[in-house]
This record gives sequence, structure tokens and C-alpha cells, in this order.
Amino acid sequence: MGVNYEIRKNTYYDSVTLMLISKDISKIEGVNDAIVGMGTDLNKELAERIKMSNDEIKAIAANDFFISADLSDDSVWESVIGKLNELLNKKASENSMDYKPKSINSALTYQSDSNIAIISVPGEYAAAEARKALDEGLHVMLFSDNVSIKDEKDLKELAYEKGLLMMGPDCGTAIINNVPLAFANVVNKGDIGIVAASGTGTQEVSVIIDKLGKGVSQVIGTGGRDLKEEIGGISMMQGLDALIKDDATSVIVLISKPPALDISKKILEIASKSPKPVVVDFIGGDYDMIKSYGVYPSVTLEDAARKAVALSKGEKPVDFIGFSKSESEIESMVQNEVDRFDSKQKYIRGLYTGGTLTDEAMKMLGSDFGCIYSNIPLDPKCKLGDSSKSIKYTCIDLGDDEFTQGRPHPMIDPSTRAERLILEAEDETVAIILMDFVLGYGSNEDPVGEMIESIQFAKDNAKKRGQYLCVVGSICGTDKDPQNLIESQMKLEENDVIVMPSNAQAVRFVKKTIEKIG
Amino acid sequence: MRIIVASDDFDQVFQSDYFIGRVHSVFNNVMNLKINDEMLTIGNVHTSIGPKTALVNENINFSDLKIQQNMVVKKRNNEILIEELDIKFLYQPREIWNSSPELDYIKVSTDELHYKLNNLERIIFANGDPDSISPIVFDLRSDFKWLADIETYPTEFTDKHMNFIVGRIKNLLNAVEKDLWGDVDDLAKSVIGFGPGLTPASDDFVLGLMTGLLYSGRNYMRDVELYQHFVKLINGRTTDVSYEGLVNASRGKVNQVIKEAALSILSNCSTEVMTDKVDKLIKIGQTSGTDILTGIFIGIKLNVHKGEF
Repeated sequence: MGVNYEIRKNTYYDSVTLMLISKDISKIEGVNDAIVGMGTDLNKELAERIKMSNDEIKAIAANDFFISADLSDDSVWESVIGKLNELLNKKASENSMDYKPKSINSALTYQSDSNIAIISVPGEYAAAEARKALDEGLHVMLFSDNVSIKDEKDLKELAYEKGLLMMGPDCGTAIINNVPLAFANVVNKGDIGIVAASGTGTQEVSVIIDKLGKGVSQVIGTGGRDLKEEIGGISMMQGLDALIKDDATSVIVLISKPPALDISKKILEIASKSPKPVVVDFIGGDYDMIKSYGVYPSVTLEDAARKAVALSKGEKPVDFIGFSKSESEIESMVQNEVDRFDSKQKYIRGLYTGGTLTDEAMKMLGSDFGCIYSNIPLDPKCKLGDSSKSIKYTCIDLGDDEFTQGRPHPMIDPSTRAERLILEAEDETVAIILMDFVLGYGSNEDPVGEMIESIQFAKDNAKKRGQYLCVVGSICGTDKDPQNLIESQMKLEENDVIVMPSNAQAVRFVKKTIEKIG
Repeated sequence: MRIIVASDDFDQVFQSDYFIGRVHSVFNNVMNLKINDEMLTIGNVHTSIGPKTALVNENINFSDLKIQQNMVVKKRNNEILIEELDIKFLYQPREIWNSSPELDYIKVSTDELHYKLNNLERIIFANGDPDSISPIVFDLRSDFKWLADIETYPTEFTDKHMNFIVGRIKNLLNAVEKDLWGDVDDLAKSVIGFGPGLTPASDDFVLGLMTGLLYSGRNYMRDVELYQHFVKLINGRTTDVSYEGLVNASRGKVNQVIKEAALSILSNCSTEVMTDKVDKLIKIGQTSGTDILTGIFIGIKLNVHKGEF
């Protein structure tokens, strides 16, 4: 194959364009090597050294542009020239779709009107990258974890000084101007704004709002540590303030694990002065204390969503502690399950991918069963000594750090949970497996389908020893999500999984069933 | 459009009775003119002032003005005119920028300089563009004792490209370190013009190297003489735009952003100020900022090593 080349005499392109051409041409299939640049003596010498020169290239001058390529097939040259012309004819700002900048600075060179940066780099570099973004006047969604408390505090203070939002670290979910960021569902646009220190909790609330026919204006994540005393709830207060000022928001929902008491008071103080109604779900928080600030406390994530929807419709919100189905239907379903267990079976095993959903499950199951063992227990004395081995009533957050070191989050790769399910099902004392299935952007393309085989396997194994294994789940997803919600639900039901409309209802159903076993 | 800032050497050309030249090259933020064998630049509000440069007060995109290479440019009264398009730049600078090097700064203590250089190394490591020549230069730490304590990071150059340049840079630094100026002439020629950019990466590195050596050294006149001799030898070996920058840098004349970055490292100002100034430099072009900063860093390290700081 001869040298394929193109020379453009006395032609100048800026460095950014030349670098982009150099990189994109090398990526074209069939291009073994390419040299792009100005005809300086050194570039010509390099071309010769790597056998990509000829007499014409040797004759060009330093102010001539040239490209020379080693191709596996000469027919590829047409694509090379096509790409070259396409890149040269594009304005820099139009190149951003093809260009994957390596730094925030490069990104801003291409898209100078950006106003938010999503950062997902190893924790040790995350704070520096976030600082750069804030210094450039960008709001930040910091997906990375393993950022020190001090760095988090510094970043949030810097953001506050600059009037910017610092979402995270460890912020996995946000919806800004109707664009889902990271792990988020496709939900209707509406007038309910959410500020949350929780990922799956936020997804659950936004999904239920959507299912109830309303939508969200903005979903602002804060990161899980924002309401700790060391951070002081800076992001939640900023988010709350932003939603109070946002014309498109008429109802506000706050979601978090119970904050430090002082922080809780500070947040509620601001919420109490909001001209817009505020629903608060401090999962397991003090209901009466929250209510005393004139805001609307909720008992579950579903309840928070239902109250927000009621307020958005101008209706009076009431606590939702029941089921979407009638009491009699639920009683019949419970009895049907109870009748299928043998006398050894009495325990629950919650296998969750979402941390907040795990928390909610443990909170709802309460202390009636003694300890709810977990890797993230509500009560330290209920911590599992070995998270790989469940005891009695156990709820595991498989998305917690100890399960995700060196492997993807179970919302992305369900294999950890699939293996765990089979293990749990080998325990003859287990009656019910409780699970969440989270759809939306960021999640596995078929989180339900990926689990079906192990659900069947677990149920079959139980059957072989004469037992029945009950699997109860809820799907956190909308009919607009990239995964197919209806198909997902059908797959589960076809495989004898009881699918409830929310995590709260799934847990309530499981609790009723276990209570009935006695 | 009105020119509101001009460098002293741009002003000198404009103040001559008459000039006529041609458009050399046009980019989004700047337009280069070739007038009486000198390269002059007119930039928009996104451009920082530098030698032979004037800035207009508007956020115009020169590429959008349909200005073409080789169009005739004239001076008429107090305007610079592109007659063919009837585009006029009214020359009314409110400020004439001094392009001379600033060498009367108060030097930072050696201890403080070491601290700042460590910070600078970290900034290049964290924020530098991996497509730049910087990782190749930093990888020479095993060849030079005075680079032994620095960290390096992966390069984006292919092995073929890297093998082509790495030995040449090593030889250049070796010659500069040992004052082998006879060799420097040949070595510089073997380094200039490497890289895809309009100002090739190796040129930017050498520009930074000269700046670092000149600003941190003790013998400005001797250095300028050497560098001016050196740039004469590289005429025609690189692009006009890059050559012009090297000619200016050989006399210590560099863009304000480069000047401020160098002074922030060498003078008695805080690390925070240095970080800010250096950050502005790193943002120049695609890899140019990183390459220039690497050159400055190496130049200063060399002078410290040679006891010439």
C-alpha cells in the first residue's frame, strides 16, 4: 500500500482543531497510523522515519498543512478525507458531540456555555476536579465517593460563596431541567421540586409522583453526608432556597436519613418559612418534631410522594399507610403465601440494591422481630459480623461500599445479588426474599431479566426440598424509562414473584405475612 | 471595531507614516497580519495582550467576518483597514502595554522557590494536557539528577512519536545544563517543529524553557545574545506564527499570561496567586499552555541546579 496523503498549502488551523483531527483520524477503522500537522522539518522527518512520507511531503514548507496515513486498505482514504473535511468545516463549538475532552478546561473550550459539571473520577482526584469546576463558575454534581469530610465541607463552602450548587460527593441522582443525571428515571415535568441526600430514595419518590400523574421541576441531590454535623446541611439549605425561589416549583420534598439534631432544626426552620408547602421524609425521623415546624412529615417515601402530589393538586394530604389494593385482596394474598410455607420457614431476607430502600425496609419492619440484621443496621448492635452471611431477619444493602469495591454497583451488574439470592434460598428457615428492581438511566439495561434465572433456580431448589420460597419485589421505574417497565413486571409475575407498587407496600406486605406466620 | 489596548511594539509599527500588508491567518479569537515582514496580531476580548498585539473591545469572531488569508491590510489615518470587506479597526488604544521583560522583581527565597516548584509540578501533573510534551520531559527524570524527584504521568504520544523526540529533548537539556552552546545550535534545530499544532509542542516547550531561564537567570544580556543567535538558526524550520513567538521570547518578550505565570513562580507572591496565574497559562490553546509551563518549570529547575538563580 502506498502513502496516502493530503497537502494544503499555506493553510493554518488552530491547535485545538489540529489535535482533534489527529485523534479522530487515528480512530477510523483501517487507519494503522497517521500523522497530522504542519510541514515543519521535524514533522516531515518524523513522517519519513515512520514510513509515511513521499517526495511531495518532503517538498512542503513549514506553513503547509499535511496529513499522511498508513491504511490497511486504500479505500479507507475516502473516509479519512471525509472526516478531515467534516472536522475542518465544523466550528469548534459544534465539535463537542464528537470530542471527549480530557479536562474541564478542554470541555469549556468546546462548550463555553456549560453551567454544570458531572464529575466521576476516583475519589482521590475528585475534590480537585470539583474545585476546578467551581472556579470556572460551574455547578457540580460529584458522583465520586471517597472524598474526605474536610474536602466536602471546603467545596460546599466555596460553592456557597460563589452562589453555585455543589451536589455530592457521592451524589448519584439528580434531574435538572428535566434531564436525568447519573442514576435517574425519566419522569414527567411538573411542579414538585425535590432536594435529597439519598439516591434510590429520590428515585422512588420521583417515580411515584410520575405514576400518580404529576411531575418534578428539579431534583437536587446533596450527597449522603450533607446533613451530618460536620457539613451542616449546606447543600440541602441551598437546594431548598433554590426551590423556594424557583417559579416552576410549587411543592417541595426533602429526603434524607435523620439528620444531626441541630442540622435538622436549621433545615426545618428554613422550611417553616417557605411560602410553598414542604413535605419532609427524614426516614425514621421524629414525625411530631417535624410536624411542629408546620411542614408535612411523611411515614415512607411513597407517603412523601403521595403528599406532594396531593398538595400540588390543592388537596389535603393524609398519611398513606396502606395498600393500593383493597384490604381483602391483600389479606387473601397474605393467606395464600402463609399456607405455602412449612413450619421451619419464618425469616425475611431483604436483598437490596438501593441503600435508602434498605433503610426504609428496616425502619418499617421495626423492632417487632427483634434485630433486623444488616451491613448498614439502624441499630449498631444489629450489625452483621460477616456481611456475606445473613442471620434470621436480615436486610442487606448490596450497593454499599464493601460489596462494590473492585466491582460494579449491583444496579449496574446484578450478578452479586443473583449469587446472594441463591445462597439465601439454601437456608431452610427463610420464607421470603424481598427485593428492589431499579430502572432508569445508569441502571442495567434489564435488571429484572438478569435476576430471573437465579429467582427460578432459588425457587426450584426450595421446591426440591419440599419448601416454597416467596419472592416479593417492587420496581422503581416509569413507563418512559429506557428499560421496559411493563415487560419487567410481567417477567417477574410470570415467575411467581409478587410485585408491589412501591417499596413501602412490598415491605408492608412482607411484614403482614411474617406476622401471620406467627 | 475599536482597538483599546496595544503593545508598545504594535504601536511602534502603527505610528509609522504608512503601512501596507496582508492577512496572514485568521482564527476565531485572533487575526494575524504580516506587515513589513513583521507578524502583528489583532485579538478579541478573549485574547490576552502580548508582544506585537492589539486588542479590540468586542467579542467578535474573526472567522465569521469572512476575512481571508492574503487580503490587503492598510493603515488609513487612525484606522487599520481591510478594504475588500470594508472592515475598519479604529486605533484608539487607552493603554499601551509594555512588552519588555520584567526582571526587577523581588526574588523569592530558595526554600520558598522549592516549595513553589513542587506545587507547580503537582499542577502540571493534575491539570496538564496528556497530549502535551510534558510527560515525555518529565520521564527524563532518570537521566537528570535535578529532575529525579519529580513524578511523571502517561503520555498520549504513540511509541513511534515518543521515540522520535525523547532523545532529542534529552540532548538539548544536557547541552543547556552543561553550557555546551555550540551543541545547542544543532540540538535546537533537531527539536524545533515537532507536534501537530500551529505552534508545535516542542516549540512551545522551548519558548517556555527560554522564558524560565531568562527570568530566573542572572545574566540576561548573555542569555539574550545566545537565544537570538539560536532563533536565527531555526528560521524556516517551523510555522511563521510559532517562529514569531520564539523570536520574541528570545528577547524575553512573551504574552502577559506567560509573563505573569513566570513572575508568580519566581517573585515573592503567594502560592495561591501562583496557582491562579499558572492555571490561566495552562488554558492557552490545546496543549500550548502545558508545554510552555513545562518549559518554564524546567528552565527554572535548571538554573537552580546550576546555582544561577
